[in-house]
Amino acid sequence: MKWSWLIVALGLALPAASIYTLDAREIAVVTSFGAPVKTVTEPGLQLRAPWPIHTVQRFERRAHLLNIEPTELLTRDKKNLVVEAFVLWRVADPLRFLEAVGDAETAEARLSDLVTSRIAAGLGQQDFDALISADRGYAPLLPPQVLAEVAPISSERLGIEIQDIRLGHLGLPLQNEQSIYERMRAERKRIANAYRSEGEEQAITIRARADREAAELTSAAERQAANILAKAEGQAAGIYAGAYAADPQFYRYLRTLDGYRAILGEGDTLVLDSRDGLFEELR
Amino acid sequence: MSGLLQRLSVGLALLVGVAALADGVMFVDSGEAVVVYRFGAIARTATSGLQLRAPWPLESDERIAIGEARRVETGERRLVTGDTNLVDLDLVVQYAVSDPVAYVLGATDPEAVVIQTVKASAAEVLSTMEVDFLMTTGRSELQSRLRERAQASLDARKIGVTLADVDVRELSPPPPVVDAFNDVSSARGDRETLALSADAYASTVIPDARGEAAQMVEVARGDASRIVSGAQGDVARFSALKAAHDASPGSVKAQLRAELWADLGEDIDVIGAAPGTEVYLPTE
Repeated sequence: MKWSWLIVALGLALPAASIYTLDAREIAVVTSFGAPVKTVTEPGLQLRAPWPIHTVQRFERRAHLLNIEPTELLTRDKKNLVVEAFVLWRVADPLRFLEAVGDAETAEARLSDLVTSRIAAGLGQQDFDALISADRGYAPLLPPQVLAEVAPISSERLGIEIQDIRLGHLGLPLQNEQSIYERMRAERKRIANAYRSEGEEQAITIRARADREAAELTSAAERQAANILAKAEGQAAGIYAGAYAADPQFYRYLRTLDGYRAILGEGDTLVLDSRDGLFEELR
Repeated sequence: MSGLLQRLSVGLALLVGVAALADGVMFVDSGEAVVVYRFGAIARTATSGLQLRAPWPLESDERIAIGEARRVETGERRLVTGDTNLVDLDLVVQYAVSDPVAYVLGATDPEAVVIQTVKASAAEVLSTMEVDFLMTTGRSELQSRLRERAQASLDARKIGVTLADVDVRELSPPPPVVDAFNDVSSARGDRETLALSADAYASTVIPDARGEAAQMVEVARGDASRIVSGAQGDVARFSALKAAHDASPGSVKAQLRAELWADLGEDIDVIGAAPGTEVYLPTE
């Protein structure tokens, strides 16, 4: 009676111990007394030998984000840069991952060293101006060979797939910032001066043009006025000529009297040719 | 005794059945998606409404808000522009889950991936743009390039998110050089002001000259008509005198002479002298 209960219990427990589920977000390795048996990548119901014969080791299947701390490094032309990078990685081969690393923390420490050294090497082969340039276009800041070098090493040695390595920040060390500020200030000064002298140039041009236009207007008017006066004087001369023609002698006489009226004053003495008829006329 | 045990076990079975059924009923809010796992594998996804699934441990579910925009900030960062200037940039990013399955399977921390991707894209895009353009009209171009580039990167990572908006909350020169940048914009203003004041000068000088010119012409016209009418007057007087003189020459001349002396006064000597004679002028 007692034995039959034990058999029933075992009959239920054995299948229960042989069935397990694998989550879609996980990847696993089945080991037997520490030795790997198989890799499980299909999520869902899975079979195994009951413990302690088989053990299931589970790992995260989703991508991990690893931030690489800001690092100061040198470009080929010996300019300092401060870079921050991030790595997206995931466990691709859980068996190799288990053997080589074991857990995510260790993996990230290894990756961090690997990626940092490769970034330093990659940027060390580039000139600062090639890296930071307005005509560089859309290329990623990180030289593509960094990913090309890190990916196979990670995959073969660590069982890790590197999905992406990117520079999250590209800055300058503090001591270099100061010299950049000096340069920025000088450049702003130059631009501001250029704007102001451009303004002055424009203003001078506008004023000079206005002065010239004004002078043209007045000189044209002067010319016109002179023409008008000349014409009037011509007309007047014509009128006088008509009168003269009518009686030249009398005309001259009247003009002479007008002339005396205009030039003589109190106490003047007028000396005339006594043979001239005018003398007699005046006396 | 056995009756009680039987009733208890039936009751327990009923309770378990009801609990299992209740576990399998899902009320999914609008704006939510539900991912159903069967023995850990993704079996299906469902959207809003009343949904059913097999009870645990056969199936389980995970709810994901897909409608709402999730908001993250990069914080202010000092970045290098393409012409090696430094600028401070602060971004606000709004994103939404566009593919629930990719979202749950893609990354352990999708939000961190979004932030880092946007930061990296910002560093990349800024390193291709010049500070003058950024500080004047380039802000919206920065924004659209940034969004485009970050979205392309996120798409490649397959984490099931779409960027709704990348907003440049701050884009400014670093504090140590702010005054220099401000001076440039005030210089730009000065340029306008100088040109405007010159325009103002021109718009008074030219009309003034035009007025002066018109005045000169009018004055000349006045003088001209005075000259002509003066001549006409003189000639009219001459004609009148001539008529009188023709009639009686002696009396007209006498009258004219008298008028002349009356105008000049008597204190004028008129001396007649033949050419070649000496004339002694009165001394004072």
